[in-house]
Amino acid sequence: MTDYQKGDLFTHLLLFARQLKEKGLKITPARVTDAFRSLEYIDLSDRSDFAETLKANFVSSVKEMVVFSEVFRYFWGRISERPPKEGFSADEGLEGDETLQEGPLAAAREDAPQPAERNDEKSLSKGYSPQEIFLVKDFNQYSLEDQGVWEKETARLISRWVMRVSRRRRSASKGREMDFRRTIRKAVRNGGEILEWFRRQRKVKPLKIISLCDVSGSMEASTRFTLQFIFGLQKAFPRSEAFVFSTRLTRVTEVVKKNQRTNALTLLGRRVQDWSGGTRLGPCLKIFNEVWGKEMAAGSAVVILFSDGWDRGDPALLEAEMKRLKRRAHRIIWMNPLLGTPGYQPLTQGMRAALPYIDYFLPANDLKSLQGLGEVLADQLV
Amino acid sequence: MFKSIEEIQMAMEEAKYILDRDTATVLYLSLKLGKPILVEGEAGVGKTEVAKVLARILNTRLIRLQCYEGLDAATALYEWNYPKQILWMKQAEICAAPREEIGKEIYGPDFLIRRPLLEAIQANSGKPVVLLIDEIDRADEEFEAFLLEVLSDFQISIPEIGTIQAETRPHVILTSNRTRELHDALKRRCLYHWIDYPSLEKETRIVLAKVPQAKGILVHQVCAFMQRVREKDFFKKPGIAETLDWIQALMALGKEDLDAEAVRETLGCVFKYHEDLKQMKEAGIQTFLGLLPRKDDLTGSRLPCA
Repeated sequence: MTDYQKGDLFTHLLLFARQLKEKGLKITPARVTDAFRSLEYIDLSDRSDFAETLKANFVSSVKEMVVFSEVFRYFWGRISERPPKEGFSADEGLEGDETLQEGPLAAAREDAPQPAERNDEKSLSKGYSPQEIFLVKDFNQYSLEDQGVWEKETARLISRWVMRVSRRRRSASKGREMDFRRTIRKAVRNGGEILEWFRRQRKVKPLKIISLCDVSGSMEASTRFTLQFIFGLQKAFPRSEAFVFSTRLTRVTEVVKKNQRTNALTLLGRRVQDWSGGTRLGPCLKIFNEVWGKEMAAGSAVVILFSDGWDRGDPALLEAEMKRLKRRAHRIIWMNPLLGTPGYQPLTQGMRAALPYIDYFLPANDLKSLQGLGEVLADQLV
Repeated sequence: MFKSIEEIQMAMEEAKYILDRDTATVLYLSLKLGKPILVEGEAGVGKTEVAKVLARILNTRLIRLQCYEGLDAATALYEWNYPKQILWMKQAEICAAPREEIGKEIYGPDFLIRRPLLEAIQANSGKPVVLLIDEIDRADEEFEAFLLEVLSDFQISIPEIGTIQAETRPHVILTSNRTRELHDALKRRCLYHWIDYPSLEKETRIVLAKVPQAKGILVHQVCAFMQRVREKDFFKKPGIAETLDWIQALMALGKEDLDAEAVRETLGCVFKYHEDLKQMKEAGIQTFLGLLPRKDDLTGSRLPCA
C-alpha cells in the first residue's frame, strides 16, 4: 500500500472506496465519481469536512456509518493498531482523532495500514460471549431421509398462511371502490358514455416473517426441525428474515437465501460459531430490537421464536425486550419443542418472563405440531 | 447561491435552524452536485424542518410529498380530473360537438390535477424549488422504484400530453424514519445524512432561537433534563420537538423553575407512551432532576460523526 504515487487523491479515494466495499458498503462507480466531485467544493485540509463529505457520499444507513467511521479512521488516520471490533456498538466516534495534525492525505500516504482483516463472521454481539463454546458443527452429517416429507409438508403448510391485506389497490370486478381512472378511460371510447363501472379493492400483500431460532446446546435435538423450517419459510416468503442465536445473535438470511441446502448448511455451520453453546435470550433479543427490530418488524411482521426458554440471562431484561418486540411485531409466536412433552409446564425463568407477550405458544416437536401452527395462523391473521 | 459551507450555516441559523457543520456540509454538497439528500434520524430531531428552512433561505417554494402506504403515481404525480371530464363530455354531447375535439379537450392541461412531483418539475419560477419527500419509508416499494425514475431524469411522460422536462432541477430532500430498509438503488442516488439528538449546547441554542422569550435558567434545566432522559432506555425518546413543546407548556403554566411538581404536571409533553410515563414515575422524577452533573460528551457522541 505504500507504493502508489504521492498526492494522488483519486487513487486514494478509489482504494478507500474499495475497502469500504469489502466491508459491505454499496459502492458504485457513480458514487466514487460524485465523492470526488464533492471534494472540489470543500476545504480538503479540514478533516471533519472531508470525512463528512465522503460519508454523505458512501454511506446509506446508520449501520454503515459505524463501518465507515472505522475504515475512515483507519485509512486516513495514522492508527496502526487494529480498530476495535465492537460489532454495532456505536460509541466509537471519530472525535478522538481530531487532534491529528496532518491533513488527510499526508496521513494516508505515509503509512496507511493494512485493512483490518476481513471479519466474515460479522456477528452482532461479539461482546456478549464470555464463555461460549466455539464449536463448529458439520451439518452434512444429518441424515436426509426425512427431507422430502419435510419439505413438502412445510411448503404446503406455509402456503396456507394468509396474506395480509394492504392498502394498495388493484382492479376487481366486485371491489368496493370505484376505479375512476379505468371507468373514464373506457368511457372515452364510447364518446363519454359510461357503459361499464370499474371497481377496485385492496390488494393482498405477502406476510413478512422473521424467525429467530435458538441453536444452543439444550435445543440441539430440535435443530434439524428448526433449520428445515427456516428454509421452508424462505422459499414461501422471499422477504422473510432468519436469525439464529445462542449466546449471540447471527443473521443468516443471506445464507439461507442461497437455497442450496447443503452449501447453506455448511456455511451456516461456519457462520454460527457458538453453535450449541448456552442461551442468552435477553441480550440477543435486545440486539435484535436495537439493530434490526425497527426496520424489520415495523408493525407488519410475524415474529416466530424457536426456543425452549432455557435462558441463563436476566429474566427482567428478557421481559423488557419481549415487551419491546411485542410493540413492533404484528404477532409473536413462540414454538417450544418441550411443549409437546406430556406434563410440560412453562416454568423456566425465561419462559415465564416471556409468556405474557406471546400471542401463540405452540409445540414444535414433530410434523403435527407444525401443522397446528399453520392452522392457528390461517385463522388469526388479518 | 451559497459560496461556502459557513455561508449556508449562517443563513440557516439566521432562519432559526441551528445546525451542525456536518449538516451544513451535506446541504452545501447537495446544492453543488445537484444530488438529493436522504436524511435519517430519530423522530423529532428536525428532519423535515431542514427542507422547510432550506426553501426559506433559498427564497423559493417548498413542495412537499407526504408518503404513506398505498401512495401511488396517481396521488404523487398527476391525475385526470375525472368528474370534470365526465361533465364536459356530457355537455359536449348535448352540443353535439365532434368526438375528436372532445378527446383533445378533456386531455388538455385544464383537466390535469397536478400532484407534488409534477408540480415540482413544472415549477417555472426561474429558480429551483425544494422538493421534500417526507417519510419515504412509509411508501410501498413499488413507489420507490417509480420515484427513482423521476429523481434520475426529472422528467415525466404523460401519454396524452407528452414529456415534461424540468427546466430547473429541484433540490430534493428525502426523509426516512427507518421503519423499513430502503432500496439500495434509491440510496445510491442520494447523499446520506444522519441527524442525531442534539448535544446540550446545541439544544439550548435551538430552544433559545425558537422560543426567545424563555428564561435562560429554565431553558438550561429543561435541556439538561432532556439529555438525561435520552440517556435512559425509554421506548420513545423525546426529540427536539418535545423539548420545544414542553418549554412552551411550562411557560404557559407560569413556571420559572423546573421542580418535581412542574415536571409531573407536564410530563405528557415529554412522553407519549403510557409505558414511558410509568417508567419515568417508577424511576422517580427526582433522579432526573437531582442536580445536573451531566455528561455532555456522552450525549454528543452517541453516534460517531466524522
